[in-house]
Amino acid sequence: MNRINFPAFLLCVALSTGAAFAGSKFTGNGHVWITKNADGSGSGSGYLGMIYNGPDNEWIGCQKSSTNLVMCHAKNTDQLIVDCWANSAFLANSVSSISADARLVFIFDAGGRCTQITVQHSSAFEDKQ
Amino acid sequence: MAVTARSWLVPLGTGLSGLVAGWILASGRYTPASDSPLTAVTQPQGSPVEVSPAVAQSATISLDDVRRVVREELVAARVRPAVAGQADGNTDEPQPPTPAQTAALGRASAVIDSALSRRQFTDADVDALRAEFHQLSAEQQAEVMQRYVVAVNQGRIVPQSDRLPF
Repeated sequence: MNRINFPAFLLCVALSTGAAFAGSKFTGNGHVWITKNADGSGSGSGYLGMIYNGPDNEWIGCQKSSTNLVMCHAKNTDQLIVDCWANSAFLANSVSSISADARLVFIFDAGGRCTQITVQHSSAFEDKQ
Repeated sequence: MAVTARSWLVPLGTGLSGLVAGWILASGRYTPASDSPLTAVTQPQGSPVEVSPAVAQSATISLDDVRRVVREELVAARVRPAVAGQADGNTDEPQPPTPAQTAALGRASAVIDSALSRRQFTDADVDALRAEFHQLSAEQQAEVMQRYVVAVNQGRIVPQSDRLPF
C-alpha cells in the first residue's frame, strides 16, 4: 500500500489555497469602447472603476429620473461621444443597479433610443481608488 | 476500503423502483373524464360574442373557428376601451401642454438651437436646459431628449463636460 508523503501533501494544499485566494483579475485596460453604425445606431461600454482610476479624459454613465426617464452617455479616448435616452421602467431598473465599479454597456438605435443597458458586477473588476 | 453489499443495494433498489414507476406512468394513456366535448365558453364582459353551436358541440375545433374567435375578440377589444373612455370621461389622450410648458419648451429648444450653431454644449447650456427640463411635459421631455441625443450622436453637438443635460 502506498503511503502519502504528508509534508508534501500539506505543501500542495497550501500552494493551491494561496492561488485560490489571489482571485482572477480583469486584465484589459477598461477604457470606454464606442461603436457607431452607419445608420446612427451604436453602443458604449466601459469599466467604471478603471476609467475613474485611469489618466485619460474619458467617461461613461447613466442617469434615471423618478418618471423612468433614462439617459446614458460615454466619451472615449478619441473624444468620440455617444448618448442615448429612453422612457422605460425596465431600463431604469438596470440603471438603478449600477454600482461604482461595475461594467456598463448601453446600446442604442438610429433614433438615439437606448434599447439595452447591461450592468455587470464582478470580483475581477478594479475598484475605484 | 471495503465496500459492503449493503452500501449500494439501497440506492440501487430506490433507483430501480423509480424507473419502474416512471415507465408505468409514461405508458398510461390520457383518458378524459367524460366523452362530452368542451362546451364551456368564457365570454368577456360587454362583448356580445356569439358562439357557434357547431363549435360547442364538436369535439374538434377547426382553424376557421379559431380565426373567427380571434377576429371577434380583436373587434371587441377595440370597442371596449372607447366605450369605457366615453363612460367615465377619461381618455388616454395626452393633455395639451400648458402655456408655461409651451414657453419652457421654446426656451429649451432655443438652448439646443444655440448649441447647434456653436457645435458645442457647454456647462452653461447644461444649466440652462436643466432649468427648463423639469417644467416640460413627458412628451416635451422626450422631444428635447431625442433632439439632443441625435445631434450628439451625429457630431453636430459636442458636449464639453460629462454633465448630463437633464
